[in-house]
Amino acid sequence: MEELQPEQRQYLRVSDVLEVEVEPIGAGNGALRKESTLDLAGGGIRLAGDAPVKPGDVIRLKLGIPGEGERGTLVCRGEVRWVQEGDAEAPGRYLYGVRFTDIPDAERDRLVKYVFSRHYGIRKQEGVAISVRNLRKNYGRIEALRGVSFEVMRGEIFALLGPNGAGKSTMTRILSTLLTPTSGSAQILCRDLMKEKQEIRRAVGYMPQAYVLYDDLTAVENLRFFGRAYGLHGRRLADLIDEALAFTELTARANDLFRTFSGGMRQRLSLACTLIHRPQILFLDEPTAGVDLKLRKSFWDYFHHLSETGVTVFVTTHQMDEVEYCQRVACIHEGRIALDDTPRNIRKLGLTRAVFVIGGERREFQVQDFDSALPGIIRELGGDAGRIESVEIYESSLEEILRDRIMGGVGVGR
Amino acid sequence: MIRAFDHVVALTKRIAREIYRDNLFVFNLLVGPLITLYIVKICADSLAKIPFLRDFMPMDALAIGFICLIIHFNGYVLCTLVIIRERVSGTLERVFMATYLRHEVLTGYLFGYSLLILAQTIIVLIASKYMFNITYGGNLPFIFVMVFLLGVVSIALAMFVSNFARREAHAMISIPLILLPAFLLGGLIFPVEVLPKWLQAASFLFPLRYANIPIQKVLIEGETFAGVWKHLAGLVAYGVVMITLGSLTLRDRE
Repeated sequence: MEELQPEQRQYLRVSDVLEVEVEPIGAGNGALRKESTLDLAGGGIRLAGDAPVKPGDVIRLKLGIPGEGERGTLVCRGEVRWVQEGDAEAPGRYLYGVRFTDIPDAERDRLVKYVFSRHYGIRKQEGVAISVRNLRKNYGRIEALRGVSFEVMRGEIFALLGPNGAGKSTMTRILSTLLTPTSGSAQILCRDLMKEKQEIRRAVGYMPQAYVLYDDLTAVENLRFFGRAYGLHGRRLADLIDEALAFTELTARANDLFRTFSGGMRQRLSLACTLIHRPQILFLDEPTAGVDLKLRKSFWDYFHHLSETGVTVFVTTHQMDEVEYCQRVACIHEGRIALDDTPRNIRKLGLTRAVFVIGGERREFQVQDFDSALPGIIRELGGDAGRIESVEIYESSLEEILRDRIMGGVGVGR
Repeated sequence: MIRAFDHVVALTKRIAREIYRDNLFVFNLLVGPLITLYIVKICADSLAKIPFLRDFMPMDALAIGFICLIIHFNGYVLCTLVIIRERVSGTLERVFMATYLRHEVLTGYLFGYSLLILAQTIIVLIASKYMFNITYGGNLPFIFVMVFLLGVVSIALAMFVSNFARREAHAMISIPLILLPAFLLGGLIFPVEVLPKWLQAASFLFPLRYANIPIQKVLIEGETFAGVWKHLAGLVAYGVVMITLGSLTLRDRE
């Protein structure tokens, strides 16, 4: 098997292109605007095809992104940079590297995420991913967890929310087999937490709160070290590394030492190392602590992409505004689960304050569910209802609800 | 089996690469012993001028003792610091999470740092030959093996001891606790035989004597391999015990 050159490997493998069409425009006729060339992860994509194109040809690509229907069709143009006659990856066909010439940033991101999740290789499954029953953990006299029970379904984004010291890290470390609980039981992917440690470790990824990796290794070397642990090697490992780097937008820094990375890049590489073996469950301990807003958004985008692929994402956070991104939230306070529901249901727990301005006078009502309470309010206003000048509605935010009802308004960082 | 081999190779490669990248670290580890040996040489030369001391203690013994001590010290300290740093920073738990097994981690680290000890052994033996005019002759392979093995065993000891450290401070305390008794009980500045029985027995707990005493016997008293092979066997056994204990006490889940 002919190995791909490192520069060829920067071209991500794409396996299911709907249509490839060689356009009549060749190179050198001004069709390519060099200055606007947008590349993908420092390279482009590599794909297999029958058409005997030459380097320099411009081709039109139509890519189908599964599960997105018509919206998932992506049409773009690219220049062929290199061509290689078939190998193991494309027997009897041509393998070519295509660099995009006109792809908007948003489409480019979609494509990278598509490639990553497309090759993730797990099928969406129903069932319980994490099941915890009456888990307790004492550190000496301190009770970190006082009997916690919950279940997380496969493919769910589950957030464990709580103030500092609530037991979030303890919970994450217990579930990712790094800490022994004092009592209680838990199952990860139907495997016993205490008895099947190695099997669980193979199937899950754990990203610690401190984004530590090896300072004197480059990004690729760090990824390779962790990839090798799972028995990955050769072309497959190289592909996984390239995809993980592109997914976390680190391709340009692939061969730089970890110690030269900024905080956000470290965090991203840490995530890439956690994803290298395509875990079915991700345990992320405060993944967005100390990252800027833009990166935080893209982290949540990653998690959603993974969740769509069928990956269960277990996240801890103390930032309540992040709850919006999750499908389920459990609030942990003083070692107990205080609330476990969807963000939508939690929102219903809040009070709505409605102020009716009637003849310059403000009349205020506080109700749980404004929609169903409105007829009652109007009845109460009686004849005044006809003179309503304006209505102001104040809904409590998710954050306020959580703070007031669960945490008692203490010590919750933002 | 193949998987374990693969894991050990990956770990060894990683450590070798880390060492290779850290130029200052390597420079210090290779030049440091030369400076120490040079100081020992000056001390030995000065002491040799005092007739009473010359009769009391052969200066060659001091040189041999220091060759062993340098390798023992470096192997031990280096490995303690590295392991505890990995544990405290959290990379060690990532290694375990990535399905590397305890004994694989131990073996991989042992191999990785042995490369550094190998380089040090070569440098120290060459330097000491010219500084102290030691004639190794046909004993060179034996001495080389003893010194190198001492270094490897020191790494194994460090890995075992640092399993009991939870913080850097704990590991720091262990350094004098292991190295100072070894210095006194390793036959470095006086023969172990003059000590009370229980202290002689205690000296077997520290690896230094297993290498230092036979090398002195071979080089100074002209003993042959047949007379000192038990020390070599002892050193190997010591290493095996340490690796076993290290693997049993290394916790991949707290």
